[in-house]
Amino acid sequence: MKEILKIRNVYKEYGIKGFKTQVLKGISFTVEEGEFIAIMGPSGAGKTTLLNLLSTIDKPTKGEILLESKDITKLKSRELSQLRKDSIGFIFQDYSLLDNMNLMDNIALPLALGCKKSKEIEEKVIAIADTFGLKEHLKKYPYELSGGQKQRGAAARALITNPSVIFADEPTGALDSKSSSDLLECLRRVNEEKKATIIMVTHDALSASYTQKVYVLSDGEIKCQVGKGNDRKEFYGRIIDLLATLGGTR
Amino acid sequence: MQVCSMAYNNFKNNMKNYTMFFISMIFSVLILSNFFILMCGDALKVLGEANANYTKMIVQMISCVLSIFIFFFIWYTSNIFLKNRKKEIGLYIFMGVDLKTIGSIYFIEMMLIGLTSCVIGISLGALLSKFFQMIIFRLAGFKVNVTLNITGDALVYTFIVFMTIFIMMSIKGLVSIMRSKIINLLNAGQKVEQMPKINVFTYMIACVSFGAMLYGYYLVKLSNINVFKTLLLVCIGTYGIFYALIPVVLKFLISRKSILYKGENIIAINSVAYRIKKNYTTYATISLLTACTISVLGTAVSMKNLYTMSLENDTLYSVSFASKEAIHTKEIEEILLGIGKKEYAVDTTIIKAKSTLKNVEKWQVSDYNILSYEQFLEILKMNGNEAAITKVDEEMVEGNKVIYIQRPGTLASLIKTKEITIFDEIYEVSEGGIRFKTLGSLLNEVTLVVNNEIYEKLKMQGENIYFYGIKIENEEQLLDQGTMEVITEELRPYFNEDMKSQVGLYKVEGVSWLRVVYAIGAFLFLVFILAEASIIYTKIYSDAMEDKDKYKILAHIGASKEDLRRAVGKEIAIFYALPLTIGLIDSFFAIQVLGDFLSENLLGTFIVSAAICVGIFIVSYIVSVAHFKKIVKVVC
Repeated sequence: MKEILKIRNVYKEYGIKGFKTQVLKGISFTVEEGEFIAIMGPSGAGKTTLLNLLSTIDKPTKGEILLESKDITKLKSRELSQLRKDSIGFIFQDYSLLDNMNLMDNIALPLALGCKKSKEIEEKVIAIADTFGLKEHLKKYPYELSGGQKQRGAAARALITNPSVIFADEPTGALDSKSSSDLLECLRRVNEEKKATIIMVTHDALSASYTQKVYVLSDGEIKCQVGKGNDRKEFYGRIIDLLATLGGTR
Repeated sequence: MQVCSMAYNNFKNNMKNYTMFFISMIFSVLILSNFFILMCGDALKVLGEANANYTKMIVQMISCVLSIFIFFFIWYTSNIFLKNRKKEIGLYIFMGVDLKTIGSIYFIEMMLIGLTSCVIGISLGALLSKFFQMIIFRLAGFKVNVTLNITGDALVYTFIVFMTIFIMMSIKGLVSIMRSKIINLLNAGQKVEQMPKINVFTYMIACVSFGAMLYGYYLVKLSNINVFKTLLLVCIGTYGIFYALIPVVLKFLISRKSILYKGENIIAINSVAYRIKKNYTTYATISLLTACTISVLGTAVSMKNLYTMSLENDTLYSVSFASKEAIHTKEIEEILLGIGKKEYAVDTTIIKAKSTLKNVEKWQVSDYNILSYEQFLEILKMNGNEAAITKVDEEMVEGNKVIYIQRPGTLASLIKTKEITIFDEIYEVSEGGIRFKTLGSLLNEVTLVVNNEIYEKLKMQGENIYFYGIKIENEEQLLDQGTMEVITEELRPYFNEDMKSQVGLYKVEGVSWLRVVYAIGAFLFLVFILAEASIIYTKIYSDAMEDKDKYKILAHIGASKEDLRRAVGKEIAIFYALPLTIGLIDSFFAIQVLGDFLSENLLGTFIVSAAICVGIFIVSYIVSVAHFKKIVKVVC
C-alpha cells in the first residue's frame, strides 16, 4: 500500500533558551493510505502537539514530515494554505462550525474557497450530508443543531474536499455516548468505503477501538502500538489492558 | 472606601483598554466647548451688534442640536463600552461581590472617565478655541484678529451639559448591571446571536418601507408643502429598509449558491447577514444622519449664496431713489459724481399695483412693481446683467402670462406662486424661479414683468413710481461718515417727503451673519461626518474582536491569508457602503427639496459634500481594514 504520511525523527521544543520543555522526543512512524489510526496517551503526553505538527498548524523543531512525499516543514505559508485546502481535513473537539452560516454553507466552505463550480459544490454537499445523516438539517444554523449533529457536520466539512488525510482532535470529547458512536461509525464507514485516511487523537479507549491501529504516546515518545484483530470488542479489551500496563490514563 | 480604590485601580489599569471610548468622549467635549466659547465670548462682536445677535442665536440653536447629537453619541459609545466589560463584571460576581457593589464600582469608574475626559476636553477646547474661531472667520471671509477670549460661563456650560449627559448614561449602565442575570454577564462574550428570521411579515415590512420611501419622494416632488409627511415617511422607510429589505436581499443572495459559492463571498455575505439584525438601528441612524448632515451643509451653502446674491442685488446700485414725484436725476448725479465716475445708471418709471385678492389673510396682500417686457430688457442691458436676457423670451409674457421676480432678500418660499390677481384680473406666472437683478433692493416688493398691452392697462389703474439708481466707482467712500454727511447735506434740497433712498453698501452689512452661518455649517458637517465614520469604526472594531475565533477556524480549513483579507475587505466595504448609499440617496432628495425651498440649485453642493463623505468613509475603511488585518494576522 502507498505511504501517505511519513514522520521521521520529529522533535518539538517549547519555551525560550534555558527554559526549554521537550514535548516530542524523536517520533517516527508511517501512515499508509486508507488507514484509520488513533493516537492515545495521558494528558501532557504530546498528542495534540503531534497532531498540530502533522496538520501543518505548527512546525517541528527538528525532523521531517512527509505528506504525499512533500516535506511540509519546508513549505511557505501560501503553499501550506493550499495544502490545507486540498489535502487535509480537520475535525475539532469544539465542532468549529461557523455560527453565521447554515450547515450547508458550512460544509461547502472549503470548496467555495477553492473556487469550485457552485452546481458541483451543491451536489457534493448533498451527497456527503446524506452519508452523515444530515440531509434534513442543511438549512439549519449551528445553534439549532445538537452536539452530535454539529460534529457530524464538521466531519462532513472535513471530508468534502476528498482530502488525502483527515485529522481529528478528540472529536468525541464533547459528545454523549450515542452521538459518539454515531460519529465514529460514520468515520469508520467513510474509511472503509472511500478509503479515507484518518488520524484521530483521543483519550477514550472506546473511540480508539473503532480504528485499525493505536499508537500510545507517553512523555513525548511512542511507547507501543496495538493493531486491531477481527473483533472490535476484543480490540477494546486489549487497548484497556495496554493502558493499564503503561500505568493508565485518567 | 474599598469600592472607591477598586474603581480607581480599574480606571488606572484599564486606561489602554478604553482608549477608543476615551478619545470619543474627549472629542465630544472639545467640540461642545468650542461652540460654547464662541457663544459666550466676544468674538462675534466684530460682526456688529445686529449681526452678532443673529449669529449668537444661531450658535445657540446649533449648540442645542450638538448637545442632542452628543447625547446619542455618548449613549451609543457607553453601551458598547459596557458590553465589552460585562464578562469582567461577571467574574466579580463569581468572586462573591454583590451586584450593588459592582454597580457602584462601575459608576465611580464611569465618573472618573467622565471627569477626566471633561477636564482634558475643556482644556484642549480652550487651547484650540482660537484656532477654531480663526477657521470659522477665515471660512466666512472676515479678516479679523481673533483674540483668545474664554469666559468662565462657557466652560461651566460645557461641564454641566456634558456631565449631565454622562451621568445619565452612567446611571443607565448602573441600572442595567443591577438588573442583569449572572449567567448573562458571564456568557456575554460568547453569546450566540441568531440569524434573523425571514418570514411573510418581513417581506411585508420590506415592501411597505420601500413603498414609504418612494411615496415620500413622490409626495415631495408633487409639492413642497408635503415636506413633513415626506420626512416621516423617509425616516420610517429608512429604518424599515435596514430592518427588512436588506435582510431579504441578503437572504436571497445566500440562497443563490452560484453567487454565494464564489470564493470569499460565502464568508462576507453570511457575516453581513448575520450582523445586520443586531446593527440595523445603527446603520439606519447613520443613513439619516448623513442625510441631515448633507442638508445642513446645503443650508450653509445656500446661506452663503443668498448672501452673495443679496450682496449683488444690494450693491447693484451704489445709491438708489424711488419717489411718487419726479426725481431730479441730473442734479443728484452731479453730486454723486463727485465721489467717483459713473459706471451705469437706471432712470425709469414703474407702476405700483395693489393685489386685490379677496378673502385672504393680511400677510398675503402685497403690492407689485410692474415692468413692461421692453423696460425689463432695457434695465438688464443698462445695469450690466445682459447675460440674463437669454433666460427669458417673449412667450413668457404672452397674453396673461407674467414673469415673477421674488422680493429682494427672500430667504425661502414654501409655496410657489402660480397665479396673481391684480385689480380683479388673474395673471399666470410663467417664470418664478430666477432672481433677476433689476431694481436692486430699495423697493421691497415682488416685481412682475408683463407685456406692453397689460402694462398700458395697468398704468391707468396703478400709480407711477419714479426710480433712479446709479452705480459709481469708489463707492466705498460712502461708508465714510464724513463724506456721507456732506453728500446728504448736498442732496437735501432734492428730497421730497415720500422719497425713499438707499446706499447699497449699508444694506449689505446687515446680512453678513449669513457668512458666519455658512462657516459654522461647513464645520458642523465635517464634525458629524467624522463622528459617523467613528461610530462605524467602533462597531467594526468590536465585531472584529468577536470574530477572532471565526478566522482561526477559517485558517485551519485552508483559507489563505489572501482569502481572509479579501473576505474582510468585502465585509467591511459592505458595512460602510450600505449606510452611505442609503444616506446619499436620502440626502439627494433632501437637498433637492431644500434647493427648491430656497430657490437654489444645490446639485453642486450635493456632489461636493457626497464626495467629502465618500472620501472620509474611504479613509475610515482603510483604517478599519488595516486593523482587521492585524487581528487576522495574529490568528494565522
